[in-house]
Amino acid sequence: MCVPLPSLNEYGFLPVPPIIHDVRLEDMPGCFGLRPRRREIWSNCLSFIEWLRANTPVTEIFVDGRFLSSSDDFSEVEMGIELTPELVRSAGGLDRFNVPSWDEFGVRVRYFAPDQPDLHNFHRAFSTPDPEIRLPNSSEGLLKGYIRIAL
Amino acid sequence: MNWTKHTLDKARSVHSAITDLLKFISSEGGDPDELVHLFEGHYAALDDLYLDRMPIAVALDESDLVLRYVGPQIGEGPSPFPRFTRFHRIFGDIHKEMVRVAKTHPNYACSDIDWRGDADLRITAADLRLIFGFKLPATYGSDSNRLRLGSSDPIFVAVKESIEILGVVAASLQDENPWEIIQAFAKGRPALDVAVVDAALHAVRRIIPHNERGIDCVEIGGLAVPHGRSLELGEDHWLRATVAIAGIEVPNEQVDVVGTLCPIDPGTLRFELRGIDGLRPIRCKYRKEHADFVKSHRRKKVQVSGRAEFDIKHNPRFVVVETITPKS
Repeated sequence: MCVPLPSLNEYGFLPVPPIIHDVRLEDMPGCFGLRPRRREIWSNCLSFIEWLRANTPVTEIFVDGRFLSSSDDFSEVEMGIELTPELVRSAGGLDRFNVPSWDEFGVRVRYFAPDQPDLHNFHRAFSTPDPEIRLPNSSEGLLKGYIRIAL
Repeated sequence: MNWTKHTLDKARSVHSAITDLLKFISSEGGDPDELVHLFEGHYAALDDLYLDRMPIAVALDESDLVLRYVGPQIGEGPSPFPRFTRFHRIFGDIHKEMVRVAKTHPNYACSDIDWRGDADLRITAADLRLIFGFKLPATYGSDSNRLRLGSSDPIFVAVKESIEILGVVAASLQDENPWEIIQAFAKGRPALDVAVVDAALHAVRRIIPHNERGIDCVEIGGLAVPHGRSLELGEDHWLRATVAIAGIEVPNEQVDVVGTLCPIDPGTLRFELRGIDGLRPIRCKYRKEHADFVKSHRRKKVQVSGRAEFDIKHNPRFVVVETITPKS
């Protein structure tokens, strides 16, 4: 169920649980777009999302990176797309996704193989924070939430 | 948190994602050599982890004091890196101030021990994005490595307590009354007298960016910061440090000293008196009315009279100047 963006926690991250926050596209960038630079970077994402909608059958994207935190130490939005056999077939092949998204849209897109929770879980990488001075005394298991947007 | 391991684990998860994607592409009949753009995001993530995040992770794990300057012109603009001159100046300022605090410590200042290379801080990070990490010199343990200092070596104690007071002073500036926090920490630690605290306040004030184009503040972390807190110090804290420095007080005992005048900071009205017969340099606080005299008598012999704080051997440690005259 889509809900508005929650307040950030004491570490400046989306609170956990849930790990994945289902957010409507129109609610983004919300609190992550308070500065002009953040809005500018998010507009790159919107351009890429428009391209996805027009050219692919992708139905959901994951948004991650330091953009989803109170830190100003970021230069881009990281986006994740899970590829599945069905998605690839609907798209007419993998070539459909083989575009230089950074050069054309300024978005870092990470394509993932189908999630295999028993082996490893690509969602785990998204929920693991980067080292930052503002995160002292944080526990080994510190997690951050990230965002899923249905297109 | 072991940030280095954590960052390596995160990098390994990216490698796993790349491997899984390669397998998936093959299973779908694709050619990974043709589908290069599908991997760009993963490679960028690895670049970020190894080149950008790992230096911070190592610094966080190993530093007694780690500083990171923050502002719009550090990670942006025509170049992702600051100009060398600015990097060099800021690093030089931090190093100079840290050594100055250690040299003001009574273990060094009130003894005939010379500064030695084995007392130097170790550098854990010196990153062009203005990230600097420092660690105390290694001490010897049961191996009795004589190339290292002992943990009770007076110089090691001087360096250790200097780093500690720097962390405490930095943290105190988050409070409206820094003196309460500084005094509470210094209580029961006789080495942390007015001279050391004054030097530490100056050091932190110098470390905080002030009128520095494109830099808003400095984040300070590391083991020396009380309670493992991280701090963000900017212009307001610089002003607070300036007020705290002006509020330094000393007992009412008079002293006359002759030495060579070496200015420290005209902004906070401080100089050092060096070359004093039988004594280490003495920090002095002067009044605005002395400013022209101080400027014109740089590196000249002068006689200073004023109120002073003394060490246990009754040598002056910090003098509030009342009169200052040339001495030929």
